[in-house]
Amino acid sequence: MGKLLKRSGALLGVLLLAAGLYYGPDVYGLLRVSHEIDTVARENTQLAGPWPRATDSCLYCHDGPQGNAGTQLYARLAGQQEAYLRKQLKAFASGERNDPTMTPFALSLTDKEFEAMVTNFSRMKAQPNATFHADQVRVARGEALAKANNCASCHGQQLEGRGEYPRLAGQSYNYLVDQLTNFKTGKRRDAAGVMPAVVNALSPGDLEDLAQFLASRQ
Amino acid sequence: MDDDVTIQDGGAGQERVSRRGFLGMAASVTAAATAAVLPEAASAAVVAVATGEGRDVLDVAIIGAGLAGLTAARDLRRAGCESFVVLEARDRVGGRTLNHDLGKGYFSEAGGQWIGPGQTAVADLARELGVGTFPTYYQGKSTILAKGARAAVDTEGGFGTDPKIAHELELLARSVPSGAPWKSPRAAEFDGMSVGDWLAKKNIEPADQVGWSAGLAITGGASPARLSLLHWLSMVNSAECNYDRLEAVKGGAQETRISGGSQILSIKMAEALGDKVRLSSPVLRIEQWQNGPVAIHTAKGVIRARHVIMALSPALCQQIAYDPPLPELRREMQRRWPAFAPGRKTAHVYKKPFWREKGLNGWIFQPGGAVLWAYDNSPEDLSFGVINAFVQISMLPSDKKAAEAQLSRTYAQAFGEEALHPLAYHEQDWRKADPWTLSCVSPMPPGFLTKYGEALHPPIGRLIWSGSETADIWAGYMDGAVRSGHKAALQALRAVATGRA
Repeated sequence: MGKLLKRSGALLGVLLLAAGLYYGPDVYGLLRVSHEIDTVARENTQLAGPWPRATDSCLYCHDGPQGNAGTQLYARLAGQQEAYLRKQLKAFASGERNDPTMTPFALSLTDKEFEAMVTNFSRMKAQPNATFHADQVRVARGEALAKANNCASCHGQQLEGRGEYPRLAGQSYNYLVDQLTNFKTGKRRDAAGVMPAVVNALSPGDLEDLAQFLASRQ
Repeated sequence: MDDDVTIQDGGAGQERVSRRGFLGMAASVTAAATAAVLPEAASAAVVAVATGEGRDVLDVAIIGAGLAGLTAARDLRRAGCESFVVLEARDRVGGRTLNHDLGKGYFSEAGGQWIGPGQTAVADLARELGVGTFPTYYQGKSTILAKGARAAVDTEGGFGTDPKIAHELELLARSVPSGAPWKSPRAAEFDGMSVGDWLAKKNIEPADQVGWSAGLAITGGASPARLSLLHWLSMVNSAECNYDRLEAVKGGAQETRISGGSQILSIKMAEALGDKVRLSSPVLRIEQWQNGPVAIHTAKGVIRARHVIMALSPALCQQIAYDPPLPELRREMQRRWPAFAPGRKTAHVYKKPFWREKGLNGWIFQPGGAVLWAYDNSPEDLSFGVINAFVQISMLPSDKKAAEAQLSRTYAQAFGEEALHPLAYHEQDWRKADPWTLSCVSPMPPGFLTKYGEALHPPIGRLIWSGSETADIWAGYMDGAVRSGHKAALQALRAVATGRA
């Protein structure tokens, strides 16, 4: 027991030693919690490498440790294309894709950290966007728009992404609407001009329909 | 002369608008009419013309109506300076402090909220404003939830950090001045590694790693691998090299709460300043900052001032255009400023703090879960029970109802079924709420402070840098904001006096 309590975490360290003195019914709970915290630490190491991990900082807004994000506001990165991740981090750093959060973040990375981010997220398994509740009518409209605009020709048959073209399936809904809108307003640039050409012909409602379809794909 | 402000409209000539008109409460009037209605303003104009400067030029413009900017404004007025204005981008004051209104005159904080030992500047401000304080609740057992398991332990008002490692950090922190960490004799060494690099040499047990990650995320805004050891030591130094004083509730920087919610400090200062404070006036562009008069272009027109107090974080300074551009080191410092620690904070309101009757303090730690730290934020007289939480943005649904429900279930696991039915739920995702915050604290990555720190404090031309990040003690805290406001007001008053001499 002493060994288990000693192993039980900075969060718990002192308190568990103190709590151990009580020997009350809580002791069983303490042992279980202590065991589960060890499991969390072990799983994190299996998923993302040995602690301390630079990539842990990203998980606060993106994905969470298991790739099971609940938010629709921030990008899901798990299972994203490696070449796309690399290109975007570079674009944030250069200011080509200027963002008050991501630009200083990208600029602060060492080369090693930069590659760790790219590798970590491209290797994480993409999870279905389980907290998005799709409107099936809008999904159907979005699917028709995706077909008409031939999204799959660059983004892959399952919209799983390819090279520098991002995975879109299961992406966060509001993030998709924001980015499609940014292509339309010119806030987000695309040197090839493909994305602006697609979205310029679409209304704000169309963009939402498209995002409904993309967010609900697996 | 402060009664009038000239607005340059597009370049189509100048139009005089009364101060009240500028606030949208009255129609614009001509210069002649203003002089007729406001004889004092007219005589001030004569003086200004006689001294060769336009009557529309203020002595000081303050950008930002948070604790720093409003403290500076209050000091200017106390020194007899009336020729100033405070420009605020949002439609409210308080910056990174914000009260959720719970009704019946009660509030729970969405942003910065605590005072601790040694944070004398903000404590004095509260006393001067007649704002009371009361202790943060920590008595009873904290709950730890991990993958379905639950335990309740008395954490004695702290986070259980290994005291041996904490003491090592305390000793190292003695050589790192809180306001200028880059001046430490060991700056290069400490800034060349992360807290994580340093901890990795201490053979931290796996479960301890989870604890350090959570602790540094809450207090420092980043994971250990991304936080400069030099920066972390400077924070420990702010706390007089006492780790608990930085991190804990009992005896620490989270020890004391503010009656009426922390935003009340800014609200009270702004009330006293009246229409000196201009809301919804984001500054877009600053011209002629080298020698003045500085032209400050806002969404509502141009303000001209001899000196400017920039009472906002370097990352927000970066959102403004400068003509001519700022010097390179300052520009790069702003461009790279680590504004990547946005916060999302929630509040569950209950009829009463029922957990207290069960011997629980309302705290929750949830390793691997959405809750970084939940705590009891009930009002002092217990008219409501309130659980506030710092949450992992990604792991909680962005939909408010869904987020409330998920947290309620977590709280029920910790405190019992009563937690399933809150009276109300509030939350603030600061990165998405508006573009005028960007970040909670600033998690300095290794290498930043030694390279760019020198550019943080020195005024450039007519621009005086303020905001909590520039404080000599407790930078990043409410206390630091107040200190930086006092300092900036002294700098501005000196500059005004020098200009007149």
